[in-house]
Amino acid sequence: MSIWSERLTNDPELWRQIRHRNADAFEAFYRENAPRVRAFLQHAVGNTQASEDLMQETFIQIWMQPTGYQPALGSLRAYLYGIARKRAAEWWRTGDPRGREIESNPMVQCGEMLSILDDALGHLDPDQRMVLWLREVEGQSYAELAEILAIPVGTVRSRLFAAREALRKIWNDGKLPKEEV
Amino acid sequence: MKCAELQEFLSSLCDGERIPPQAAEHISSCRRCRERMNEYSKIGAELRRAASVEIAREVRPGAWRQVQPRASRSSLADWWGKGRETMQIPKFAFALLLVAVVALGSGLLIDKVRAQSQGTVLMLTTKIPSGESNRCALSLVDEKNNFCAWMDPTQFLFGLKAYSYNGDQIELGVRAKYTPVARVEGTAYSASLDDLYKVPEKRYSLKPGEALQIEIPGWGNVALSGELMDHMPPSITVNNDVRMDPKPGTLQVISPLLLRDNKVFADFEGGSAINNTGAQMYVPGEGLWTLSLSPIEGAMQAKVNLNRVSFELNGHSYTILMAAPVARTEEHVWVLHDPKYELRGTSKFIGPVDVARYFRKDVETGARSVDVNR
Repeated sequence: MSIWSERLTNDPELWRQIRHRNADAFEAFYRENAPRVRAFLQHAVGNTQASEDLMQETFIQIWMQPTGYQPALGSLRAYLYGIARKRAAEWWRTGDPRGREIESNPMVQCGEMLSILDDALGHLDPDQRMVLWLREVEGQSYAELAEILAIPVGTVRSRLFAAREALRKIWNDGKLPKEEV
Repeated sequence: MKCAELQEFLSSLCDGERIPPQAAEHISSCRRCRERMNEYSKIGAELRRAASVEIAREVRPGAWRQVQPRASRSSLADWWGKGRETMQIPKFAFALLLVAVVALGSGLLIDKVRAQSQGTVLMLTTKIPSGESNRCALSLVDEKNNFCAWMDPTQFLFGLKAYSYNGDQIELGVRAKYTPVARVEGTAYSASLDDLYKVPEKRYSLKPGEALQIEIPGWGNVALSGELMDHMPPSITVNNDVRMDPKPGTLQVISPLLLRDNKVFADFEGGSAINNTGAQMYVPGEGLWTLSLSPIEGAMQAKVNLNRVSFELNGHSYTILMAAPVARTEEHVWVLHDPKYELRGTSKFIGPVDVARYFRKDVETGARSVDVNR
């Protein structure tokens, strides 16, 4: 394991290394974050192949143009997810809409509960899925979510509530036994 | 305090956020609210459990290894010279169209609609001699997003372009002209991008964090100041007029995302239409969407929930998501779709509209289609 794994939380130093084209540092950054970014994108676009491609594009963009991040303005991970979110929005915006059907998530193969969860998530708006995932799974703060999603903090708060409430209602609407929730 | 009034606080509390004391007091003594909080917490736990499965999947080796980083930023091309073909004239053209048919002397800020995902950005504040100020974001690395203009057809033309950044100073191109015109009631005024092109450009150096004074003959001093940012911000941080509590009788449409049957068909991230009775969004191939605070012939009333406008049309469900509340809660919103509307040669645009004046003018002229290819 690269020594950079120990230093991933030191954003300014890591970013300095990336800007200086330190491939080891970037590889560690990629290994640490790529699976999480892919999982986030999976829920943003609902398509396994697209999420893999968008994840790769996200890291390529940072590697190719390491000029955009400013440590004083937020965490590197928030910057990373902000780029991923824009890639997802771009994916929805362009291309053939016939290919934009939501497919089942790989996690459906991992048990009934996860399948039910995936089904419930699929009923949420893409924006609600993204904000809920970033908050609950990635632990992003409200301020970071506002930066990533380009919305005010107040909207983060209301959107999170709307997402939780929508998911709760879907689960309680017979799709998931309440005692298992 | 009733349970229904503080449900949003339950969600915030789950995230470790502080909530008002009255809400906290209610929750401590309300079994129903605590149960709801538990449900939210369990949802979070289930999501994290699911994520553990997903994140454990192997990822492919990074494709980034196969590409070489850019050695340096490309120099910014002379946009003024070639931009008439490639710049976003449609945005301007639309703004001018609105100026021509609806605006009577109100200042018009035109900024970029395009989203920006990378590069260094100059957040520039412009203060004109009348004391008014506006902000716009200029990319220092993307020539398609390095320009903004502020025009009042009866007062002034003002255009700014960022050319380069040497790590210390930013080279700005400024075109400014004071054009006072006596306003006449009922007269529509317009100014075009061509008018702005005719104004000679002057170059200035701006140091981030320091003010730059530019003297405009007959007008006075225009003050510019700027700071660097890492991304192109959404309009809500650009425009000082955006409010969480919109002004009475006005719509504010900020960074709208248009969804049909829960699928995005247009994204106006960074675009806005505020401070008027209506807003219009044009999407090539989709036509013109008008939001109005008053009924329009042929329009349908939409459901409004803070920053979300939803309606049904031709068997499809539509939702427009925005970055801020669209109108005051007592207001109603109507939506009119004109699928045949076309601005040839344009990309999408968004802008404010005075509904009463626009549709009256529309009836008078019958003109709904404009060719902006010049």
